[in-house]
Amino acid sequence: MQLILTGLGVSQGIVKGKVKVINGKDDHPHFEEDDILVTHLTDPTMVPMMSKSSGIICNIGGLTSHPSIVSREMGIPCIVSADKATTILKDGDIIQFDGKTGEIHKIDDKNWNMRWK
Amino acid sequence: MLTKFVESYVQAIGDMDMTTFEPLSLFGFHPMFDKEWIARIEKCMEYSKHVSMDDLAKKIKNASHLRAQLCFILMDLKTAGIAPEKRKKIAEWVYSLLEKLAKKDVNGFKSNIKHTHSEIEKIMKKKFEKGSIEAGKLLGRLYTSAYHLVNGLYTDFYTDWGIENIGPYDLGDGRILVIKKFANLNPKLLWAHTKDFPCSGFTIYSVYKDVKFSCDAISVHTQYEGDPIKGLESFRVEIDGKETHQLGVLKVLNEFFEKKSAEQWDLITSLDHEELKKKTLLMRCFIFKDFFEHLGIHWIPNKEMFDAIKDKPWSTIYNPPKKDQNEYWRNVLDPKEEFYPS
Repeated sequence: MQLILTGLGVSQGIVKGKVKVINGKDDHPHFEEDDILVTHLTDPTMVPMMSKSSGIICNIGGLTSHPSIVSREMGIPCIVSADKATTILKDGDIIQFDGKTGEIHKIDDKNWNMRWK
Repeated sequence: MLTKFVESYVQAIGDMDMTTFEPLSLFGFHPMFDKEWIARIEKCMEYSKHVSMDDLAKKIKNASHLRAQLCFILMDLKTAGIAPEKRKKIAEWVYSLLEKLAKKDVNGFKSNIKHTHSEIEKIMKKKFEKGSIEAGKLLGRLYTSAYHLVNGLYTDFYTDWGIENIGPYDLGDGRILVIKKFANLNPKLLWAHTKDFPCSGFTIYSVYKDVKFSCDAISVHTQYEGDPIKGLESFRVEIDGKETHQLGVLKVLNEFFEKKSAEQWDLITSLDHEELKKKTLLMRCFIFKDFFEHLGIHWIPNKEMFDAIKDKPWSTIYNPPKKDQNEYWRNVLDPKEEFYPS
């Protein structure tokens, strides 16, 4: 595993999954259950994706920003203030991130599909 | 009293990323009509001499909402350049209403306590369903969808009018009760299309085991220690006051709010600069509707307010430092401080 980015961990839990970079609501049909939602900042048009996601990463935000608050309510890990996450992370990347430490690791593991929290 | 309130709110603001506010920031909006807003509050003070302050506080209902409004008034007092003695008098009047709503931790340092012990006992005698992972996840999703609907109905700054988290209440044996109250979800006078919404609000009562909960002066700023999904021991949901425990009904409600939250966001973000200002002004008055009307004041913004915002760009009067903003906001909020944003 390679540490590729660090942000502010705002909702605890460790998750492993596939990145889906979302630039707007039009990306909605391509979002699959348990994908990791990576976006600049979540907005209300992304609620169906947030509900499906196994974790959320945003370029900006703080401890009390919207994605931070709702992630804690849904019990999924979240990192905000991960500068340039939408550029550094690519669609289909397999990553593991820690919603407590804010560390995002890229992994090269064909047998990645074993998620835990 | 006010010093502690200021400290509590500085703590709440301190964790915010000020670049995230959409579709507008009150820091750019409120200074446009600060004098007119303070004039309205002074009118309320004058008219309140003829009513009971206990009854008046009940018209606000929501302690977190009142804390937010007090914070905004403290800011307006400074940007409007109101004299120190008058600032103190106005701020203390609003604070006296807050003292009537909050039962403990009035300033909201780490909780939002509004119920007495006997009121909690009464709630706990009602029927609760056993918690499960499935129920915990569904309630989290329902919270998320309704939260975002509120965001579109009332923007980032009047959110408290639509959501109030209340608690935690210690039930013993490592158990706590947290109440998540969604209200005013169909403000027809503000957004006409909401007249067709299936409910005006719902309340989730969550009993957690081995989970710690806290919030700051802004009650949606929640924090958990422990897992709120696995730790959900039991729950109760009321939709418009009626008990509803069928997960199927909650799923349908969640899907409805998911759809409406996106539509509402599209609607508010499609408003042009002038329309957005007028709508947000209407919003600020609307959330005081019952309060104003109890005092015999028409809730609609007056001509002076509309004139004050017309053809104006967002204000740039607030210029907090990029880092370590707490001292800046402390000076802005504290009515004793001779510090004026410029």
